Amino acid sequence: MNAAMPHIAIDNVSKTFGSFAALQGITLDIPQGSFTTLLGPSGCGKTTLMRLIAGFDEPDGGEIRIDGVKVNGVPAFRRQTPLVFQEYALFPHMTVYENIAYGLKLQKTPREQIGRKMGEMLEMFGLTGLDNRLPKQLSGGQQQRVAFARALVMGQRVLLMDEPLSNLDAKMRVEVRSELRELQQRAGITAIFVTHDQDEALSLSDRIAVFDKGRIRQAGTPWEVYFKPDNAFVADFVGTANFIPGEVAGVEGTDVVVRCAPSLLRVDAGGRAFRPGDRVTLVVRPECISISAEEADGGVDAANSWSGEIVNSTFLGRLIRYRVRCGPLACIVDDADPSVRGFLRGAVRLRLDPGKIHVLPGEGGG
Amino acid sequence: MFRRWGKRTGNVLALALLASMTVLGACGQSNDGGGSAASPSAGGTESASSGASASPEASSASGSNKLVLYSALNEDDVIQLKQKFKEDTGIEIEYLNLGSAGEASTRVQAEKDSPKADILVGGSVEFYQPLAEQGILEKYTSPNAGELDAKFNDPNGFWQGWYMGVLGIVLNKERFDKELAPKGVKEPATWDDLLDPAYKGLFITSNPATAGGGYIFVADQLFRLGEDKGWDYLKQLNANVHHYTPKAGDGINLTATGEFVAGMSWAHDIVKSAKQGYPIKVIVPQQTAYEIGGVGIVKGGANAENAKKFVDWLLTKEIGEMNTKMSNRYSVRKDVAPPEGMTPIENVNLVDYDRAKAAGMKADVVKKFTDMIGTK
Amino acid sequence: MISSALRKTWMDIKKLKHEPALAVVIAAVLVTTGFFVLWPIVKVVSFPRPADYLQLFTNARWFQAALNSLFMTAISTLSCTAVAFLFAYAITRLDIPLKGLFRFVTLLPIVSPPFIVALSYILLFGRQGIVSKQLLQANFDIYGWHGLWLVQTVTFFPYAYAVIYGVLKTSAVHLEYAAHNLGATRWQVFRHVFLPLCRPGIAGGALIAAMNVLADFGNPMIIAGNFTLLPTEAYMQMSGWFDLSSASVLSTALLLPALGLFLANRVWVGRRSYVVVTGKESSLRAYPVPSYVKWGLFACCLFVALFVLAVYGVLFYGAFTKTWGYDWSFTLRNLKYVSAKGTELYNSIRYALFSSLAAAVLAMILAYLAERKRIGVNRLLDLLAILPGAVPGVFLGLGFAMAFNRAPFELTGTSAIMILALTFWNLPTCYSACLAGFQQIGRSLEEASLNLGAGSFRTFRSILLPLLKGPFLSGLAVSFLRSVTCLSVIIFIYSAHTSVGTVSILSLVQNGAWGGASAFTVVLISIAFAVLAATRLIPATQDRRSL
Repeated sequence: MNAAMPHIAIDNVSKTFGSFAALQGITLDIPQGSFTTLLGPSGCGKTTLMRLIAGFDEPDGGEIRIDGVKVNGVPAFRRQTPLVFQEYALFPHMTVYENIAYGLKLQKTPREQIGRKMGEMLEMFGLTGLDNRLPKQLSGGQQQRVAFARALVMGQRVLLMDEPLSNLDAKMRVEVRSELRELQQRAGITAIFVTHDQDEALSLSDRIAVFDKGRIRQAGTPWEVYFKPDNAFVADFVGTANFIPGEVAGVEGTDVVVRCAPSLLRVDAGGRAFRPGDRVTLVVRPECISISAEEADGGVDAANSWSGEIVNSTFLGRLIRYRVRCGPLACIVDDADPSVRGFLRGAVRLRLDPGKIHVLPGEGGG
Repeated sequence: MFRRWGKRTGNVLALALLASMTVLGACGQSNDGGGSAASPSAGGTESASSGASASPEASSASGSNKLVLYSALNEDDVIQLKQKFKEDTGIEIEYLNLGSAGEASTRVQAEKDSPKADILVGGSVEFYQPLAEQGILEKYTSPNAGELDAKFNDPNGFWQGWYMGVLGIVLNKERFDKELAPKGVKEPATWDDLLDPAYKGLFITSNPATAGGGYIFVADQLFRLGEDKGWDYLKQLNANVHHYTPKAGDGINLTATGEFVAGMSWAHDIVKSAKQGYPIKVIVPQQTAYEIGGVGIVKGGANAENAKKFVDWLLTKEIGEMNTKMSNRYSVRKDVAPPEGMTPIENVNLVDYDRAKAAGMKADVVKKFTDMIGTK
Repeated sequence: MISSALRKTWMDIKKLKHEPALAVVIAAVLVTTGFFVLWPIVKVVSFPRPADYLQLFTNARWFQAALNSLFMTAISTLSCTAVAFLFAYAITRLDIPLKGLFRFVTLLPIVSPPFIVALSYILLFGRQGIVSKQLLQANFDIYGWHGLWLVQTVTFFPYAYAVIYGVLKTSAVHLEYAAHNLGATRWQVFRHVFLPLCRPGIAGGALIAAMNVLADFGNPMIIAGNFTLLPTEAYMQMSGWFDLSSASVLSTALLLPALGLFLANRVWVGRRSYVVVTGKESSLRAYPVPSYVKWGLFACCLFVALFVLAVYGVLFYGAFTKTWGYDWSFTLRNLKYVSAKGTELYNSIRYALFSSLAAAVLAMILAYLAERKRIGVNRLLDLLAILPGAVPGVFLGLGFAMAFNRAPFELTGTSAIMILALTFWNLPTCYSACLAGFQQIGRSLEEASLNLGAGSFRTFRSILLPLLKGPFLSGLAVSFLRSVTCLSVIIFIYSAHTSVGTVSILSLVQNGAWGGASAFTVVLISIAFAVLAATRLIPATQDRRSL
């Protein structure tokens, strides 16, 4: 983030397979030492981009630069971009030790140095004692750790990961996330991580690039992507959002007044220019709406306060998610601290904080 | 595992390298027609051929001590001939045993542009005639050929007959005595005896479309009985034939092991099997057909003088007797006794076999025969 | 459509300029393979005059032979594939005893030289046969299409087995569990999951069996009776009447159905591949089958095994008896034929070793290029590698004799021509094995290696090669065994100094010395197995790490 030159620069890269445009004009800078996630639904092009970086395929157009050097045409084995495969791709005929040491051997690392590094790696990944096993004799978690060790053993400054956590169970996945993040920061590695799991993306990344249909829809910090989505696709794909259609009733400084079905709302324009009469969509995260029982609120009817009716509720442990009907709208609302109050029923009052509402031009939620 | 495989890979690669080097080495060798670093065994014929293309006269004038022989004889016989020829003349024979006259002819034709052989020996003279016409054979008339019957000498001098084989009946005596004799069937003495319905499904012969002997047998019947009666005979015989084998010799062992009671094949081959101890005997019927076994010198061979010596030598009485003994075939010389267990040739009333006519009508006869036996 | 395909090919070829080394290898492989595969074929096909080809339709005997060949190929392929599948299934999936024996039985018929085994059949199942007449008292006549069918099934099922076994061994067991879980019965799982997954293997096996049956002339010669077949006719036209033209016509007639089979196979199997080795490892035991099925299949295997053992037992026994098929008293006399033929035995082993190694290496390269590289000429390479399998051995041998008999490619009489002919004859066997192997190794393993810094060559050597060890070695072993016992390919190209064991066997059979021929065969087979065992190349012993 601090370096002037991005570690990996993707410049207007395109790739087609037959008639299918897998990537169209992708431009993305990946700073030194950052953790960048390529996020998107399957078939969006995120894995294709990673394969282009690793050199398994060549782009049809555009440039990829690593440390400012164009790598188009450089064969995969010269790129020094270790990759952790989704299915791990451990060599079934080699032991754990041989798998991990493979890259070192290719580099003709002196024997004692291999021994030392291997000791460190086995230790670091908790594989000590398993070094003579074949991959099929390992559990899924162990196989995954071998895959990471194999990619990291040579100490390169880049690490590519293609959904490496998708084969782990839920609990382990969460544990590994923080370990992974810690490891990356400690080693100062530039990490590129491909996933379709938004939780993973949000929790791990310095930066997220959201892909859809071969294009980047937004690139930014997790906070930006989550709270200031550039478009409805990003807002919808990352996290859960309420999309409230409306029309600009007036512009007041940096704020706009939006007329939507339950009431008028005054929100921050987010730097965008609007004119009265524009169709807009308001994006509100469920946790940005507070909910309370109707009678407790005493019937105060303010502009940012709507009354509604609970349709159903889901208990998620740390919060309760309500589906609330407000006139023609259906809103999703999280009660972030249900520990004392318990479940609400029937008529409720919702309160929207204008500062937490994000306005997007155009219609339609996604 | 990693390291072990590494070592094994090394071995495999080394072997592969060795293999490819042998191939390359051998290719190179054939290109320069000389050295034989990779496969010394291939050197012999090679050097012979290089000599041939360079200067055939020179090598024969220098009194070469070699003779390259392509043989359609039985291998045992060739070995004995080789040893005897070395004893008698000091000349070393290198032979290639090709099993059948057809293969030998094919081979000589394929090598027409750079002959590898000096002489071709064995197999019916019918195979020599087309070779002579293609200019593959060298003209030579041996001084020893003068006293022979005219039918054994090529009027044009390209080939020389030196032995004779006749067609005969092979009979499994054990099965015959057990199954047919009690029914009052007599041992067959003539071709016509084979028409006895008692042989139905028990007689085997070869197919004229594929076997030379099979065709000579069919032609024999046509010459012996005339066109019409000949076909009648074949039709009647067809009722008894279990099946027609692709090769002339196939029926002998099938009869020897008792699969069939009687069969038709070359008499000398039958005698050979009988001598191994099978319960079979050979019958040479009257009016049987015969083949003349030939020898011919290959034009452009490296050792032409030695080839002539070989032809002369083959026609001597001593070698005639030797060949008769080992191959059970008649010698062309009248002063050589018949093979053991066979009638003297004077007592066999050979059919008047017109080779030119037989060759000319082959296609038609085979077609008619094929139609006659149908899908049997 | 075609023009766009051509343009795409051209684009792929143009890309090769970035990889000059690869381009050189591809060019070399294309030229070599084309030269040794296409040129001999062209030579044979162009030998007869066009009018000669008309005879195929006018000559009733040949026309019938062509029909018979097709018929025999069809029924034998069905039965070969069925038996091969039975064995492959039993050996890979069932927990039954005597697996070692069954494996042995699937190797034995591969090493049978022509002619001699047919004689065993007659002795056992002929009209006076030990089994047919004396044991069963049946009036059974082996001569004809039904007898030949039996013999061809037993002789050629091992070729299909080799392929099917390779695929069954690696087929994904967990998919079967999944299907069971979805409520499928055993039979439904077998039909809907197992069989479709095995389809490439079954099709490949059937193809190999069909090609072999189509081209075989040794067994029909003795067993077929009046049932004429094309290869027998072709062989007899050459060896009986030295009619090269007719022989070429008949051989060419064999080429067409063979090519048809090849194309049909490609269409049916298509580019289907079921990646099984992905680098994510799991081990599941095969889903158990009910015991009546298990023991029923076991009984079938045992029956076939006993049958094969009987045939070879007779052969073995016959090698040490006074008069083959008549006087069964013991003798060692027949071995004297063998001792006189040391050079031929040595040549047999030497040529077989070199040619099978060369074939396996070349096949590996071809399979790698055709399957793993997008180079525009993949289909062409594929065709070149498999084409010799569609060419009857006699045809290939004749083609070599005709194509390489004058300068600058004069190879007549050399060891080189023997090794080269056998190499290209073996190429399809090795190629099929390697190709199937490649198709079962996920690309990500290769990418992982590249990613870790290994170049194409290094990746090939340390990742693909070890993983392909199984197919490579089984291709090598099968090639070696069939080279040792091959007659058809070399019958027109051997010379005085490059003669091999099978030629000696042929001449012994022709001399009626069946005992000697059996003895020679037994020795040849024993040496072949000994060489295999010595180099520990028998696949059965190599199952230490299954893919």
